[in-house]
Amino acid sequence: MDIVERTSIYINRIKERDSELKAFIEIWENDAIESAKKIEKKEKKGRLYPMVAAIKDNMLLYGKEITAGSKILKGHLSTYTATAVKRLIDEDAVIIGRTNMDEFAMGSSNENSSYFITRNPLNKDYVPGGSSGGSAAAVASDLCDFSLGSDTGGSIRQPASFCGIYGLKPTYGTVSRYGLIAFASGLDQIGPFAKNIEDIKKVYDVIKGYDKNDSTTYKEFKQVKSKKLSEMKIGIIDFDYNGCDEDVIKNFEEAVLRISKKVSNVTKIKIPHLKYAISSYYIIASSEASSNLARFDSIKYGKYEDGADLESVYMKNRGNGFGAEVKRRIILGTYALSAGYYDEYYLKAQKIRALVKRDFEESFKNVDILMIPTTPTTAFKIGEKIDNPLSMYLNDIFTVPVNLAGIAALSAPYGKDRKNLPSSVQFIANKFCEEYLFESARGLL
Amino acid sequence: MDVEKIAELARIELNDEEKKKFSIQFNTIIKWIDELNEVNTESVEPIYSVTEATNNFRKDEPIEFENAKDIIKNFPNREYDFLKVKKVIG
Repeated sequence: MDIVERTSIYINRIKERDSELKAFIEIWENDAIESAKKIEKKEKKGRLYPMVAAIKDNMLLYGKEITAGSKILKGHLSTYTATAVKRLIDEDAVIIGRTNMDEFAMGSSNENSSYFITRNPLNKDYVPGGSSGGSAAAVASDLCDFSLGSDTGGSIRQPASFCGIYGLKPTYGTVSRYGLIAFASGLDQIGPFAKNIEDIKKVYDVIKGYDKNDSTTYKEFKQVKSKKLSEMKIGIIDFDYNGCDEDVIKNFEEAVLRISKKVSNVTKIKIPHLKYAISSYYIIASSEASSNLARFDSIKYGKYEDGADLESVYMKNRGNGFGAEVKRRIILGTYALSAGYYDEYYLKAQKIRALVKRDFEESFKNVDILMIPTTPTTAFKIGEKIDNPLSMYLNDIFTVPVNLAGIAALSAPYGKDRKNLPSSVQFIANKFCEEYLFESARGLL
Repeated sequence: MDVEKIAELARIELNDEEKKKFSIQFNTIIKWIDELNEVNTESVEPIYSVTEATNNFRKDEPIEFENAKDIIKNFPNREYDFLKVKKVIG
């Protein structure tokens, strides 16, 4: 089948299924068909031909509306194209539409979108995870070949796990963030969702690389070449089982057993400060967000409501434009950075971050890959955690340490729970060692 | 934590219900965050970036942004090609 036919099939399927699923905020039908026709006529096709892709609503595509799932940006049209998206287009992928997300990528369930709640394709009463829930649900229900998400504390890996697909959080600094609406710049990273490891690798190889427009991308980096799984040293993270679903643990132990049959060198590894990663993450991410989101004042872009003076315009537009979770994080971040509390919270959190990073560095002196479940539970019911932000935060307990350390991780589906919802294994590797992730995840097949 | 005061610093208007709800939620969150005090960090240097990259300067020369007109089109309020704002200095 050629790319024009494939694009039409996906568009029809979205029209059929997405009224219930709600993975997409918008589909770009005409543009998708037009670009598919152009690609089909090319003599030499790019590396992503004939793939159809969806992007999260926080990545710019020139001329298209972009809102980061927020009311405050309603009607804003992208003034340029994000580097990662441009690289997809340059390699002849068709971009079919933008997917739903938790507002400004803050959330683990997609319930914080200002549009609607995306449903888990495997059970409509359950959340797809977040914040890239729409991107995960779109791939899981075959509405595109792959999608891009962004991962600040687990926002690719957790929804990949809840929807039973693969999701990669690349090494910080390997994929450009130019054109990604920032949440926490020091942690955000763009990565792919797909149904198999080969597609994940293919997309990662296309989007990675230095970008002069993102000064945090590595100028020169060498992707570490893979070695055979049988030659790898694997570390199983010795984690606290408290609060973990017993089915998740059972599936994880089975996955470890399966890997152990193919690898002789498997050991238990302690990451001593793992437990403190999550609270330190919420301080750092919220602090960066409170600063990054200061630009959304309804004056330069977005929806504007008039007020008596400048101050009341700010108060009103930000009060009405942001949802509850975004307000909570901005307030928490402002508090952590405010005079008198900076040392106690922000500085303390950055020190803990240094310890977490050091723990990982130490462990990678002895092993090539670390394994831990992606999430402590499988998908939860819509509405179940929405009034308890802390219990929602704790869902990210195994994913945030990776962002704090700036290293790479892949979530790979393995097993189901008693409700037939998928659980996953998270493979973690040192920076630039994405190839180890692909090779070790193949060991579960 | 004085939610109302911090929200004002962040220029976010909260209604009474939000103030009440957030206060309760922040109490739980801050109590949880205080677990960080269990860790002795006296001799630890904080990190602010995971890449070892230092400032990445380019030549200080203006570069033309080709879609400037699109930025102007996005202005919620404008007069000609100028962004219109409320009085800043009293």
